[in-house]
Amino acid sequence: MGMSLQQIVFGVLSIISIISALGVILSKNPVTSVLCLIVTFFTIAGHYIMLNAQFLAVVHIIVYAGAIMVLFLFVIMLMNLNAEIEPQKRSWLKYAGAISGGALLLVLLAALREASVSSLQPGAVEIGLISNLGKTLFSTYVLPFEVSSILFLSAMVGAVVIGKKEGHES
Amino acid sequence: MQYADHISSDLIERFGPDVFRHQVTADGVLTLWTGKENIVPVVQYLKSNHYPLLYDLCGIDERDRAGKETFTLADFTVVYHLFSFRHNNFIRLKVALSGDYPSLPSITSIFQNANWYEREVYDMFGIRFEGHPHLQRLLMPLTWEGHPLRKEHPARATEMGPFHLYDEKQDLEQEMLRFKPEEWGLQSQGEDTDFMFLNIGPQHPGTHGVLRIILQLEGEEIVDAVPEIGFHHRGAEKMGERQSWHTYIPYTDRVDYLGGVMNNLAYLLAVEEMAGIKVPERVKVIRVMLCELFRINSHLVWFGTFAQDLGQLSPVFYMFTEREKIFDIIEAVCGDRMHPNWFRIGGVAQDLPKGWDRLVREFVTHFPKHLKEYNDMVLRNSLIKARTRGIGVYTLEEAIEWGVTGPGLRACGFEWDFRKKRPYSGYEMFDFDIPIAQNGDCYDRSLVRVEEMRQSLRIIEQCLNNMPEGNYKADHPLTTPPIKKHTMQDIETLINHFLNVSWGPVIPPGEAMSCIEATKGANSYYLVSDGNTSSYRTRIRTPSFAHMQMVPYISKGYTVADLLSILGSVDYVLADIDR
Amino acid sequence: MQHVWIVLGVLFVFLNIAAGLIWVERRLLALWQDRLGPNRAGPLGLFIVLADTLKLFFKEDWIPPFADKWVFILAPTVVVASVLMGLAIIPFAPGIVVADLNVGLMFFLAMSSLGVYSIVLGGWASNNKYSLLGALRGASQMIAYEVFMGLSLMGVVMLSRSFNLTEIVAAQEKIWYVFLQPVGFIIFFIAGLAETHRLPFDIPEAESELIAGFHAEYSGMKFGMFFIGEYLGISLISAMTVTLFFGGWLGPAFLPPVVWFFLKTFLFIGLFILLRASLPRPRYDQLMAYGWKLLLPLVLANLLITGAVALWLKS
Repeated sequence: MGMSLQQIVFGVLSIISIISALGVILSKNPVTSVLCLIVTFFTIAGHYIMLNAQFLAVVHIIVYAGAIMVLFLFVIMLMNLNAEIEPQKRSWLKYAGAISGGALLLVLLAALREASVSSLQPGAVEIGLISNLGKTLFSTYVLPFEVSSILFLSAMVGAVVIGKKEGHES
Repeated sequence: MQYADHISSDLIERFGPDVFRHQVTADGVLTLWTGKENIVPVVQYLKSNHYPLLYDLCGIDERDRAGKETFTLADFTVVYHLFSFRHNNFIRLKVALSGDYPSLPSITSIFQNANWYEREVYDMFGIRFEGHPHLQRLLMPLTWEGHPLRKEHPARATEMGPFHLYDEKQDLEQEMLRFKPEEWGLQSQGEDTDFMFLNIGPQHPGTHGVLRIILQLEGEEIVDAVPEIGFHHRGAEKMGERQSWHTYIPYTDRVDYLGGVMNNLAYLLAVEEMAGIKVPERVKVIRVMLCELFRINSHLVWFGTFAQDLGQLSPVFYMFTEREKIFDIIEAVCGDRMHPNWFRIGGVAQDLPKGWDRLVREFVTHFPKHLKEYNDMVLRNSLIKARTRGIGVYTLEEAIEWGVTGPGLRACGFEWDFRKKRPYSGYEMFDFDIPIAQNGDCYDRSLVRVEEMRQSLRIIEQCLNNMPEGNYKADHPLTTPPIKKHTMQDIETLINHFLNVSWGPVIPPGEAMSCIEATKGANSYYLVSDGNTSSYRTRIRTPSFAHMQMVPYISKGYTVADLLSILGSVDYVLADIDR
Repeated sequence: MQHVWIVLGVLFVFLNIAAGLIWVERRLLALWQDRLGPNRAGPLGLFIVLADTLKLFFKEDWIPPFADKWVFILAPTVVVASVLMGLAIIPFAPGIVVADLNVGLMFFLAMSSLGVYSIVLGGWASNNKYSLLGALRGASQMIAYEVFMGLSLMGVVMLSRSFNLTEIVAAQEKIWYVFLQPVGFIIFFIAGLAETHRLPFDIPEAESELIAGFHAEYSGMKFGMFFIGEYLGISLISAMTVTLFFGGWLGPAFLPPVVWFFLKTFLFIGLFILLRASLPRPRYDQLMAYGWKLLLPLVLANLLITGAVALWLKS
């Protein structure tokens, strides 16, 4: 066939990521869903590495797999969710889900139909490296970057306020 | 004594002359009989008149009593011991009950700690207490048939039929093991939460023995706790009714198994009181010295395990090394270590061995330095402070309400030590202080115990320097083993000796209660003799029982980790709870 | 080919260190606790390692019927895998490193953040209340201390201007970072203790409270994996401490660099064990309060000051 090593790795990663992503929505057990999602994150981190964006890959793992999904698991453990006690979904919800999902698929297809796969430029290869990323973030995109950090800060403050309030009531 | 007369006339004046009958006992405690209809008001009156402590509550099956005294006309008796700190005075109330399974009003509405005591009486005698919130067996399994301290209940397994585990019985036992929160007085749901139930024990490294504590948790916060005790119940009181007065001594060793000969002392003080034996000075001092060595020993075990409960792994090894040195002394003196069984009626088993003073002096010189080191390591550690300060707090009033004695009481700022206030075995001859602390939390209880070790050391040093000469046994016909020089004079003395050795001494009819400051609090033996070679009723009042009953009360609102600090600081021994 | 040897060598050395720590820890604890420790099997009791490993292998490998089988099996492998991955980026000597990543430090943080899964999954899958409590404690403890660990290292990054560990070590030629970043070092080490959940931060296990916490239901070699994972974790944190703050392989020339590296690492492993021998365990909420109320402001201040000084020196 003449596939290069890169292509093989890409194919394997993609297949795993699609299977595990399907696992997330098809699994009855919420813990299995979470575990599948974690696998998906890893495969996506793998894709980042293939794009030579090592920093993004690592941050992706730290933030999503290392922190957010742990909190998900935490909540699932606390609520003791499992297949038996999951409430039966109403049928109109299923239809609504199918329709909106289908609409999204249509939009995506329409958008991607016109898209052409441009070959990677040599300059872009280095963008994922940490020093380049830093320079870009703090020069070209400094305003959006700082604004988003303020957004995070306000979200943090909001979380603390909500947490505090509940503590006082109980 | 004067106050006893005063309160006696006070009671008669208030309730009328026909309500009480007075009984004279060997220990001189004011003993009043009253009817079951009067018990609640009388106890209520006494509580509000300077008798704030329900010291003990027990039953007696009177149906087999030889030569029934004029007072015990009925089938059962329930005995209440109240104590007044202000007047340093015990009062004993007795209620006579007729019938096979009699009942009487509960006093749980007056004294919180009556709860377990009444349950125990119900468990052991089948006497019911009307108005008790949760009258259920306490020490015996729920499936047990019969009530062990009733006289018709067998005292040995060989008196019972062979054991069979039929299928139905096995199913029943299995079903009884199923945990139903409601049966323990617990709710499984709160207003907007489901509670989590966590079994601490019966096998758990933090319970220091076979104890089960059912925790009702919200998150990690303790909503309620229910101790299940009785796993260690060996029928020590029942054994007292079949062993001779002398051969019961080794059983006492095993009640508070860290207290060693101190248990012997509590038992023997009551026996000697009934027998009218006065022991020589040397015996007193030897006994005090051994008891204080055991007090240090017990506190060392507590110190090490307390630190270990809080996660500090090393102290327990240092403490046990130190304990080993004390055991060396005890072994040299008694020939045994944890359960020396060394005190005898009217004395001790042997005189002190040659060179005992060298061993003790060596210990007394070296120990203070080591103790300081251990104290720095554990109690001055800021993590330990953070784990124990303000945890498991109770006030002095709460402590008395729940029957707390010993270091737990002194940690509330109350200077009360039975060695000082009601001296026994010659403690009045010694110079020592009563350490106290103010806050009544886990940390303060620990401080008191560490300081108590220093005070015990002072007492031991005084014993060492002032050991009186003299006999190690009283010159009295009822001492055990009987003194040889009184025999071989004529047939009468020979037979007396023979009987005293083979059957054991006959203690004259009567009753007496000792009260000593044991390692963990007030320990008492309340003995009733009907003029036989063994006790008619042996009641053991142990401090751990009262303290364990209080644990749920002081652990509510704390976390699971705090419960371990609390259990550690309460310092109980399971055999002392379950007997 | 040489690279394969390095990978195998690192695996071999660290698995042996982890196994050897069984003996080291017991002997050191015994030394500090005035007792003998294992001294019967082989010279100085060294064969205890063998005996213990054999024992673990021959124990019944039991999966409780009430457990979630696959997650139960997965949990112990996660801890070993993540720690071993973390070891890949450590330069033991010039040129001896499995993966010389330019985001090495971040990779280390990513791998150590995965360790929490073994606790959470193990505790949850065991379907035991003690395990669940341990898992909950462990998860919040590790997520929190992750934050301080990451932040405490940023000072080092600012000074060395690199995430690459080889470059960080090389930048310490003149002066070890422990002298420039003492606060960073202390907080990193504390966070490392919390990450490996060793005493005084063994709150997820808390023997006297939770019996063994998240791994209460584990036996045989699955328990052994947690065991090895813990020792590997100690080795990893010690090795990272040495790399980041104590000049890695750097040392006077009379000993080869690798020897210097391992000497320093063993010192820190010893410190881990000494802490276990001496300190009690704080309560869970005290640990969290300590982290958020003391360590976090401290580490942020450290970061600000380091940044300011670095900028000032540059200009």
